[in-house]
Amino acid sequence: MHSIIRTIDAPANPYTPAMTECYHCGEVVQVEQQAIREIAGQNRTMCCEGCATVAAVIHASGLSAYYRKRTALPRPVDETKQSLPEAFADILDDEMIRSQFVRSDHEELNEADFIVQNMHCPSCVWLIENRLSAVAGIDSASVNYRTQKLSLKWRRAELSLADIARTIESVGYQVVPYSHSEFSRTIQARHQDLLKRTGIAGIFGMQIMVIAVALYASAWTSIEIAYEELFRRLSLLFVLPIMFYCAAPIFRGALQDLKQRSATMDVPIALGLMVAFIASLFATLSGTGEIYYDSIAMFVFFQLTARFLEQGAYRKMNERINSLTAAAPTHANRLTDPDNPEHVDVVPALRLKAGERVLVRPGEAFPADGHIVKGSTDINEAILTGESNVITQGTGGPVFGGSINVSQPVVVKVSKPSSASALAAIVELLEKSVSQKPSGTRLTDRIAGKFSATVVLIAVLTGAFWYYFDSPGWLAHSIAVLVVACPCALALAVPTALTATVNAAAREGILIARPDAVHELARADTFVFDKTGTLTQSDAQLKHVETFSNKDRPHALGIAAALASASEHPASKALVRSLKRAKVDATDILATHGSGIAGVVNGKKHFLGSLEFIRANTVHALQDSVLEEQSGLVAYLSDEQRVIAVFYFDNPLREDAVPLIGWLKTLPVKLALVTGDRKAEAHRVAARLDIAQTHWGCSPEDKLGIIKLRQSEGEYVAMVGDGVNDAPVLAAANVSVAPANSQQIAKAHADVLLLDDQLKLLAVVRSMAEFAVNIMRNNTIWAIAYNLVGISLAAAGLVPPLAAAVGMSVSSLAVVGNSLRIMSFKPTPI
Amino acid sequence: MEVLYLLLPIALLVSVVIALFFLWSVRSGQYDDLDGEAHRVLMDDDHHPTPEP
Repeated sequence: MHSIIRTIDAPANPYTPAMTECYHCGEVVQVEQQAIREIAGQNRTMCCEGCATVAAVIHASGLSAYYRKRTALPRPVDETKQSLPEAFADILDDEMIRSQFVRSDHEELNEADFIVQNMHCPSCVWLIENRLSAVAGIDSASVNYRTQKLSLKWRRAELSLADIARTIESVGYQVVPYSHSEFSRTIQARHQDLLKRTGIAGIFGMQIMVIAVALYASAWTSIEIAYEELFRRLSLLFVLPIMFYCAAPIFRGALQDLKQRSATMDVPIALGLMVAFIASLFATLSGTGEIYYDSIAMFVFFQLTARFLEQGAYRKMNERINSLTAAAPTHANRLTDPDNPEHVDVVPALRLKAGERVLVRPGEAFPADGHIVKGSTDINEAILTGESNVITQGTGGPVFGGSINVSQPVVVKVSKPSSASALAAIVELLEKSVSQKPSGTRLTDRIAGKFSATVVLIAVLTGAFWYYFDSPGWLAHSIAVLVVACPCALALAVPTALTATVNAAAREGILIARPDAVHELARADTFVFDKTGTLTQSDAQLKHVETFSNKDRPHALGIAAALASASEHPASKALVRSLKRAKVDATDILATHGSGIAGVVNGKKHFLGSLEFIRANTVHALQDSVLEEQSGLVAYLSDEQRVIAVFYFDNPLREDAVPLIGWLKTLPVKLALVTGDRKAEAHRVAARLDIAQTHWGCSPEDKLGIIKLRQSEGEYVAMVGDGVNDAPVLAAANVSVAPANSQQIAKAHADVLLLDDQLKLLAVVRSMAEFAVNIMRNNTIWAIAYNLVGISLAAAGLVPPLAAAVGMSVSSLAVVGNSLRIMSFKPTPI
Repeated sequence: MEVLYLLLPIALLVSVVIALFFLWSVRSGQYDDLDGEAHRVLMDDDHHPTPEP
């Protein structure tokens, strides 16, 4: 073929487009698929049976108000149905599965959380809660809109989990069980704890401020010594909970640092707080000397607020990722009679034992490793290998858990339980690389240790200097140095900027799941890309049609699509996708696995499939020379006499892959392609994108080795990948990015998740990270400069408590204001 | 100015009460879903769903 890629003519649409919109989902209704139901006395048109059923249930439950309340439209029901297997509801009641997520599992009241999929607007919350509360046996149902989490209490005796799942499904949503991981529980507890401490610091801090203003005013108008004493003692009362309750995490952090002989910002902060408090305490009790209670209160409040906001931003992101990656437990159709595939019962894949036989239908994943005992089929092993083409396996052939059965139902004899499958091995590899992930250190933490030592040294020198010159204020001056040096602005410099970045990124459709990812993304000097699903689209697409008879292309495509609709093969799916509107019917379809499909279209027998299949069925097959040069995915269409058309497929590049790579090439970074796919395919993509380094045919271990080698050579690696086989690499890379259509396990282990299905968001997040790191550097320099000036003045004995308090808040607000600039960051379009 | 001896303890008491209230509100989960409540208040229940047939 020559280089020009011809586009496919748009198929002629025999119907005038009737622009009716679906009553339920708002999609344009295709006349051949429409469904009409009477709802509230009116005939409503729906785009599919799925939508019609849902609308009827909503109406019958008296919840039609949903259609008035909603502010966004759902997806069509049929499309979403594929996301969960039909047998899913049944295995929820399996003892092994339910024990994983049902709490307080006694006879009367059960409690469990679910992630609701397909929620699209706040009225979904209303619809689900009201639908469930009308069901007998459900005690309470509440949906958290932000986390898409449904918390349910129900009486087990009256209602099974399967019933509940089906009830929710009947109004157009799917639920998957959500088990609180230990991690998310800790995060939740820590969040509440931090909120309490911040709030208390605010409440008591305000009282201290009020009193402080009165005390400062006494510098101009005199105040009776008795009242001054009262004010100071009351301040002490108010500051006690702030010091001993609110600031406890800071002290704990500092103590831990000292034990580990490392230093973070906690050390200088704790030092400053302690000196300020002890000096003020003595001043209050003795009645002479300066008090710094207002500085302490303000300082602790600022610190905790910054931590709370930072932690809150990441908590939000983690919850989003949790709900995005919640997966239904995998199930298997186990044969009750080993020789009769007609009788199966649905069991969780975890329960399968070696030697048992399972039926795997087309479109389903193999639940465990094993080999085929009956039938033969095409298998997509992309999840394990990253290779995009399907392979064919007959009786006796090995299959691997997690790979997808594409074409024919087969019976598989399980050889290993699913905990020992090839997929489980990848997950194990993943866990290993998670634990070995190189950790980044924060900019400010690197200077924290030196900073503390310097400050203490300066304080000692100041005290010694003034003592030597017989000044009575030698201790006060040295305390002032330590108080002023308490690095409020410096400690805020990084967290505020990170929080602003996480929020700004979320607005652009990017989830940043790990705080350090911002630094690392800005620092990365090598970008490694996976191919299939990352740089290319994950589905094959019809690239080009060549016709040989006098039939036109749309016509040939119509016949091919009619035959292809009987098969799950990637090429068949691509054919059906490229022809959605005018469908022709095929009868007497006979699919021969691994080679082709025969069927009667328009009263004539047609064949669609591989070259061998066509040769076996068609009298005048084309000359070999034309047909044999083709590489990649090709399908032939013929009738009994001659070949009609040839269809060429490929996995096209994502639209924005070329501009993204072009943009990255303007940066001083290295690019590499790592794929499990074949050499030719890898080089094709690498050539199109002009990527010099290509690694092909890589197993997950190979990929991991490549990343580790690069890291050992001092490169800072960012990995972009989407598949299960990429997950270990994503975890091992310094920073990892997963596009929107990634496998759940890849999403769960990526540091950065692109929510919109656009690769160019990678450019947005990279430039945003660079901007943020710049801001952090500004902040840090400014904060250090402020501290240098403050410490010099304090050493000279020129800083009274009022100046310390004002200076601290002004410098902190300057840092916060600077960080807020990230919120208005506008990425340059690529 | 002797009234300060009365007012300041009251201020102390009031802030302690506010602090306790705040702790209670956090513990009872009122801050867990701030977005949801904002929407929920608009979803007035102007009807009652029909119970299961």
